[in-house]
Amino acid sequence: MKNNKIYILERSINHALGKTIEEICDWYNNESAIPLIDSTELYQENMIKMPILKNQNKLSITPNILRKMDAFCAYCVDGINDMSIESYPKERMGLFLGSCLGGLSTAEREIRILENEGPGRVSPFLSIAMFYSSSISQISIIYNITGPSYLYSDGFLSGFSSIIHASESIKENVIPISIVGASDMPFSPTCVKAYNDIGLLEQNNYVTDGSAMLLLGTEQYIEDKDCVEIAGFGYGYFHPDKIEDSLNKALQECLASSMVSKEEIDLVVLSDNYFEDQREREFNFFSTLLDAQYLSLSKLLGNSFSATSVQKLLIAESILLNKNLPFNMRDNSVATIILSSIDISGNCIMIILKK
Amino acid sequence: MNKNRVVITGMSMITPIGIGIDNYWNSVLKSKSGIDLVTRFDTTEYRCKVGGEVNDFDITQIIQDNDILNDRFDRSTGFALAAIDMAMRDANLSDADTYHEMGCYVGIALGGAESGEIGYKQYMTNKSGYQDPYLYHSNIPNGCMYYINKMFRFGGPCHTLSTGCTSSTDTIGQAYRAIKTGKVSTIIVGGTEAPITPLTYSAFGNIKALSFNTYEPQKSSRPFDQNRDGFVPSEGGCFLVLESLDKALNRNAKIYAEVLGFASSANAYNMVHPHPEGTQNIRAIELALDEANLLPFQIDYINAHGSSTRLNDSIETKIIKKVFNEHAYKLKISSTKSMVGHMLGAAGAIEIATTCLGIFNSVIPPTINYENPDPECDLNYTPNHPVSKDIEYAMSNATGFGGLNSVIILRKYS
Repeated sequence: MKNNKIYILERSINHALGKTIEEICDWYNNESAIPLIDSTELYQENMIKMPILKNQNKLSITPNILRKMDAFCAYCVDGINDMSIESYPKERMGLFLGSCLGGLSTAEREIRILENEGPGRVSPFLSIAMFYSSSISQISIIYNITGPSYLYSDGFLSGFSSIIHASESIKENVIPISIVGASDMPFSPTCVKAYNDIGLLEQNNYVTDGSAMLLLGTEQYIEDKDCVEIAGFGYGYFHPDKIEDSLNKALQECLASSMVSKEEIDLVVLSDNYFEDQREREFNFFSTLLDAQYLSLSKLLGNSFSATSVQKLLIAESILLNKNLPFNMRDNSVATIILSSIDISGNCIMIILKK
Repeated sequence: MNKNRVVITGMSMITPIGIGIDNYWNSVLKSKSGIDLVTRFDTTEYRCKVGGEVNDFDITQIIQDNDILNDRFDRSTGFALAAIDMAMRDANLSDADTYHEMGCYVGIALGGAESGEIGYKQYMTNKSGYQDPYLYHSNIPNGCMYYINKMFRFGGPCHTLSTGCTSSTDTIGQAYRAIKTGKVSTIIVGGTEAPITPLTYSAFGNIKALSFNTYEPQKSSRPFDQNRDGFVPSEGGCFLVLESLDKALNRNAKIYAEVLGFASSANAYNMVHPHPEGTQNIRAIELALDEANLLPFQIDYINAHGSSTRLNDSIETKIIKKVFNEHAYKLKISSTKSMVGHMLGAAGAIEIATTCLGIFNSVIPPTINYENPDPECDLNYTPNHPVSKDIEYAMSNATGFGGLNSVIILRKYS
């Protein structure tokens, strides 16, 4: 059986800094201008010192639809609105999405109602919103997508999980095309509190909400577009004491599945959203193996949980397409990029993009 | 591309009718109900007062790892850790080298629902004085995987899938694909759920999806019966060991059944109601049969979704008739939910495990509480008592809120 190649056909991004790569990267060039919002009353009440940047982009969703869904789900729907998927076949289109926190903020609002007003006042929409899979169900209904639909909740890796599983399904001819991506809305009291209590968020520049969505498909859908290929991916179990072993496993799998040699990798986009010593070890691992340029986007993008790694992938795609080179790079001849993503649960995924 | 055959070589279950294969299967053979009045919270103000609780679950009886037991995790994570440990032992896979090569896929619909509610209530009471380093890991679905990694250190792909009531059918389907294509040779896969919480009962009670029968709790889950009035939430976990046939034969493993096909689809119709014609569920069944290289008449037994809601059971009957035509009346069908209730994210796994045990022991499990025939549900649902019968090919059908459908095809290994 022929193994299909997989390409990025469409994309959308929703980040507090903007809804296009260009807008977001403009912030990079004017780094000091990133408008960190010193949280709401709620967080001040908790004495949390964490900088927060709330996404205030206008969503392209009618209020009637919006009221039936959690914000994480709304970001997904908005993301698909921003892509052009109408010309692609919906019946065999897959829907593989990721979310770390799902409808946590809605659930917490309803717990408050349950406590204060009793069970009869809990919203009937909660039965829908409390399932993490509500996003894929809502999207399948709104866009009439009837292919296989899955929601991965692999923490920070959720977005990359959605990409590698959809890619496998496309490779194996289960589906020819799939929407993938991730979204998260982390501004719920217990989420912020929980991450703060394990000391993770202070490691990041800021916390934010948003999404990143892609449409992946086979060569037959490329037409005359410039497209980037998802050339390979690899997976590694990340034991805190043996990061290098796990990164090595993921890298070897990634290189083997893409048939790319170490020498061909021009740029490494680091995961860089974990604890300080692990950041250093991740960088040291790559720098001893690869003669490449390195890019850390964590300072620019902050941490929007599952969405961040996919947002990084879209910036990497933009670099390959030569649409954006706002970074301090040695040259603009980048043709192959490897992206690394590590999750707090102890897993990592790498993806190779090729021009 | 590799095309490995995939077999099931181990399993375990923690359910309201029994913990472990022997206890569970004996209860199935006795047509036992695990449903009773809820004791995990005060249901006075709630319309639904019944549920399937695992009252005799004591994790320390199964796991002796103090590093894990000293942590605090959600009840659903406890079910998963214990069920994985038991399934690994059942499959006779117990050395660290084996773990290093294995993957682990977990299906869960609600995440740590109970921990989330307790955590948020404590937060509301204590605000800034409240510090809980366990909250993150106990609250979200992926938190379960954190503890699984900590305890078992599986070295292969580890994923958490949350697709509502089809979650664990989907994880088993994806594990089957991963082994079939040679990505990995062994995966421990299943589902876990602990949904008996005030918020879950409020949300599903307010859309009238739950059974409000409190007169005879043991009879409140009654799939395909004329007097069914909603599903009954229940808790538990179920995990299976899937591995390539070659590997299983090399180590002389016991083989419960072979996985032959998997497919899933989305209705794109309504968040709560199933599609009246079941078009996409039919498509998923046909795709799964196609992958298994089977014709409909070859199926002997269907473990139905059979949720005990008015709409699901009549529409599922209609779907079976459309796919199987006249053969629908010769098929044996049953609903595991009649005995254990609806384990949400774990439902698919327990139903597939029950199907495997049926295949392995040549027994069709019963649909209990089937007392009043419904003209819209006129097939053979194996009412009230198990039936001895060889099963060559079987199908497990799962559907869920939001209109997701997933189907697994199994066969007797010979």
